[in-house]
Amino acid sequence: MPKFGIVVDLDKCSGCQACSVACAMENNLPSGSADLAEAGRLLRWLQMLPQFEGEYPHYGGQTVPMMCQQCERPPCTLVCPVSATYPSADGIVAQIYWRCIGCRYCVNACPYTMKWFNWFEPQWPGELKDGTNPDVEMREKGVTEKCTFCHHKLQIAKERAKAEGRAIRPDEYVPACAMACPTEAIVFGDIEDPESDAFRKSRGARAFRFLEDLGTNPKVIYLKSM
Amino acid sequence: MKLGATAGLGAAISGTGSFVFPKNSNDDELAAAQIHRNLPEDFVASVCSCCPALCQLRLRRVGSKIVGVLPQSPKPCPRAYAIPQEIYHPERIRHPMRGTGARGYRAFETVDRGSAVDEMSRCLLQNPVRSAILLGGTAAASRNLLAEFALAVGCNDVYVEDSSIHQGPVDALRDATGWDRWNFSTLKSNGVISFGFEWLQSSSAFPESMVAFQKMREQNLPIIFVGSRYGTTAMRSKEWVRTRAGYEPLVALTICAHIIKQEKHARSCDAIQGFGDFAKSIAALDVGAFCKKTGVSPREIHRISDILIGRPKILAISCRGRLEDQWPVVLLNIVLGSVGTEQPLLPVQKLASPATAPAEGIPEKIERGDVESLVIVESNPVFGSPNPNRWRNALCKVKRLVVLGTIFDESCAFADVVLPLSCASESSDVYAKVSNSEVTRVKSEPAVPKGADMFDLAHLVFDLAKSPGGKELPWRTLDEYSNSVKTVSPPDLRIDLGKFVTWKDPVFEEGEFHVVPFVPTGFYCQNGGHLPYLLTTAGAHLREFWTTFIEINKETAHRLGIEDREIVILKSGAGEIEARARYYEGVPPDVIGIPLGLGHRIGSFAQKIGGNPSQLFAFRRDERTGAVLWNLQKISIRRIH
Repeated sequence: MPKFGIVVDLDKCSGCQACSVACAMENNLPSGSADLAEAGRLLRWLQMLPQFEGEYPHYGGQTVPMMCQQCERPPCTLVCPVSATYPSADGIVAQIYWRCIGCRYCVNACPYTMKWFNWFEPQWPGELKDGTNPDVEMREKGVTEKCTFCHHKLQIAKERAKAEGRAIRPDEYVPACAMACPTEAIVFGDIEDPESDAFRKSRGARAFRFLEDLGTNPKVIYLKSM
Repeated sequence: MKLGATAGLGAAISGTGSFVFPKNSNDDELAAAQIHRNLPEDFVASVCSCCPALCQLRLRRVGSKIVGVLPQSPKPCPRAYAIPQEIYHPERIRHPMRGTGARGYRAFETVDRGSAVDEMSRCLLQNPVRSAILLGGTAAASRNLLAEFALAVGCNDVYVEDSSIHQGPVDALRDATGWDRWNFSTLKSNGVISFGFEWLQSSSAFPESMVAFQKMREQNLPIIFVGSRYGTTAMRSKEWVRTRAGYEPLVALTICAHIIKQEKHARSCDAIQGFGDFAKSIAALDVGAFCKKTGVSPREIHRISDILIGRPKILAISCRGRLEDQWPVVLLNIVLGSVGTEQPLLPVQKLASPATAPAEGIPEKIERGDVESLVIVESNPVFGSPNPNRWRNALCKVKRLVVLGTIFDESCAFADVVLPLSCASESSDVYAKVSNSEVTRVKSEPAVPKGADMFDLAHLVFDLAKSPGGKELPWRTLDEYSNSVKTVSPPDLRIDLGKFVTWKDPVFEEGEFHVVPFVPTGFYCQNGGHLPYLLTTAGAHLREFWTTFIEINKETAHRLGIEDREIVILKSGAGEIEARARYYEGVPPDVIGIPLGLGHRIGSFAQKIGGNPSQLFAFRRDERTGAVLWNLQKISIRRIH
C-alpha cells in the first residue's frame, strides 16, 4: 500500500500561491466574506505561513505553504469522540463530514492549526455553485474539514484503474496543489517507494519536518531553502 | 468503522461499505451532486486572457458547466484557477442594462439587446470625431477589430488601458534601438538583477518567470533584487540590495559606471557608434555621490558588478518609470551585452494592429469637451487609475457612456448602458502571444455557451458595421480579420546612445512616507479583487486577508503611536483612505508598502475595511512617454482616534 506524502522545496517556492487557489477551487472551499475574514474564520486548507526573522535592515525569511501535515501519529484522531477523523491505510488522515459532531476537539489538538471548523453555513451567492467540483462533497455549518491530499482524485483513479484491470499510474493521482505549482516546488508521491521523486527528496540533507519533536511524524516534508 | 458511532446520525452501512445518506441531510444538494456525477465529463482546451501571458489551460467541463482548471505547461498564476468563479460570479453581467439616476450611483434595469446595441451605435456613430473607446483586457483580435471599426467610422480616439506598472523600460529601449517591442526573457537569462521591479509577482510573463526562477535556483544562478522593500521578489532572490525608495535606477547607473571604468563592458559595445566618448562621460560620473544618494556602498557596487560581469546573459530589469529611470537599466543591459536576438533582452515581432494611445488622457479630453461619448471595454478606470476622482468627474460629465464587460464594477455604475460580454471560455477569439522573438496566434474556442443575452465582441462589431451610420468592414469573420493582420519583424539591431537621458533626482509628491505599491500575483492591472480566492492571497506574508493594509516599520509605528492591526488614515494630495496598519520589518522607517487592487466596496465580495489605494496616487505621467508613474508618491499617516 503506498504511503502518500508531499515534499515542499522551499528553495523553489516562489510564493505565488497558485497552490492555495487551486486547492480552494478543487475542494469547493467556501468563498468567504469580509466578516469571516475579520473574525479570522476564512477557510483555506492550504495557507502561506510567514517565517520571517530579524529587524530592518537585517530581515529575511519567506512564506511557507502549509496544509494538513497528514501525520503518521495524528493527535486529532486521538481526541475525536466519534471517529470522524482517522488515519487511513494510504497515509491520508481521513475526515468524514457526516460523522463530525462539531466538538472541535481535533481543531484544538492539531499542533499545526490546520483543521478548519465551519462556524457558519458556507455561502455561494448567485450562480457560484455551478462552478464547484462535483467530486467533492460540500460541507456545512458545524463540521470540521482539512486538506485530504485531494483524496477524491485517488478514489477516481482507483475506480478507473480497477475498471481497466491495472494499477494506478503515478500521474493519475496528483493533488491540485502539486499539479498547480509552476516551479515544481511541491512534489507528491509515495514517500516509501524508492523509485519516486518524493522518496528521494524526502531523504535529502535539506529535508525537515515541522515540530518534529512532538512525534507526530508528518508526511509533509519540507526542504530548506539554500 | 463502528456502527455505534454512526447510529446517532441515523445512518446505515450497507455490505458494500457505501453509506445510505441520513434523512437529515440536504437531500436536494445530494441529489444535485448525484445528477452532476452522471453527466458527461471532458476537458476543453482554452486560454486565460487575464494578462499578456495568455496561459493555455484545460477546462474541466461536466455537463455544460466549467468545474475545474487544469494547467498546461508552463503553468499559470493563481488567477487562472479562479476562472470558474469569474464565469459564475454573482456580479456577472448577464443582461444588457440601462442606468438611471445620478452617475456613479445608478439604478439599473434590464433592457433588450436591440436597445443596447442601438445605444452603443449612437455612442460611436452619431458624432464619431467626438467619440472615444477605451480598450482593457488582453490584446485579442476582437478588441482590435473594434478599434479598426472605430477608426473606419472616423473615431480617432482609441485608447488602451495603462499597464505601465507591469512593463519594463520599453521607452528607453525604443529610443536606443528604434524598436518598441521587447521580450525581457528571464528564461534566456543566466541570472536576473531587478531594480525595483517585482518580476516574480507582477510580471506579464508569469509562467516563463516561474520556469526561469526554478532553473536559476537549481543552478544557483544570481537572482538579485535592488529595492527598498522586502517583497515577494526580494524574498525569493539570492540577494536583497537595500536602497532608498525611488533611487533603484541610480544603482543601475552606478554599476554601469563602475563596469565601464574597469573596462569590463561587453565587447559588443565597441561596435556601437560613439560608444567610446559616451563611455568616458559615464565613467566620469561622480559615483561616490551616487552611493550616498542610494545608500548602497561602493564596496557593494564592486561586489555586485563582479557578479554580473562574471557570466554572460544577465538580464537587468526595472519598472517602466520615468525615461531617465529607464535609461540606466537599458544601459546596463547594453554594457553587459544582454541586448540582441540571442540575448535575454530580445526584440520581438509585433502585429500591425490599429494605432492606440494611452488611456490616461481621456478624462482631460472629456473635461475639454473633445470627447462627448465614450465606450469602455473590459476596463475599470474608476478603480484602477491613479487619482480615480479624475475619472469619476469625467464620467459624470461625459454625455454618453457605454460600458462592456463581464463583471459589474465601479465603472459600470456610471454607464448609461451596460452590455454583457462573453468571457474567453464562452467565445471564439484569437490572441497574440509572444514566444521568444515571435508573435504567435493562439485561438480560443468556447468551452461553454455564453448567456443568451451576452455579446461576443466580434459579432457585435460586425452588427454595428451594418447598422445605420456604420461602415462595412473588409472582413466577414474574426478569423478573416486576424489572418489579414500582418506581423512586422524588427529591423537589424542598431544601438544608438544619442538619446540617452541623464538621470536626475525624482520629484516626489508631498508627504512624510514614500509609498511603494506592489501588485499581488494574479491582480494584473489591479483586476482580481472581485474574486474571493484571490482576496486571501494579497497579504499572505502578514496573514492579512480581505482588507486594504499597509506595511509599516515597527519603529515608525511606535513613533506615531500606531498599534499592529490598527485602522489608520492615509492621506496624500490626491486623496485619503483608511487601511489597516501591519507591522512589517521588510520596509525601512520612511517607506510604506501597499498592495494595489484591493478596496472594492461593491459586490458580493466587497471589503469592509480599507479603501482603494489608487486614490492616494497623484496622476503623474512622463510627458515624453505617456507612462503612468506610480513610484513618486508620498503620504502622511494619522490615527483615527
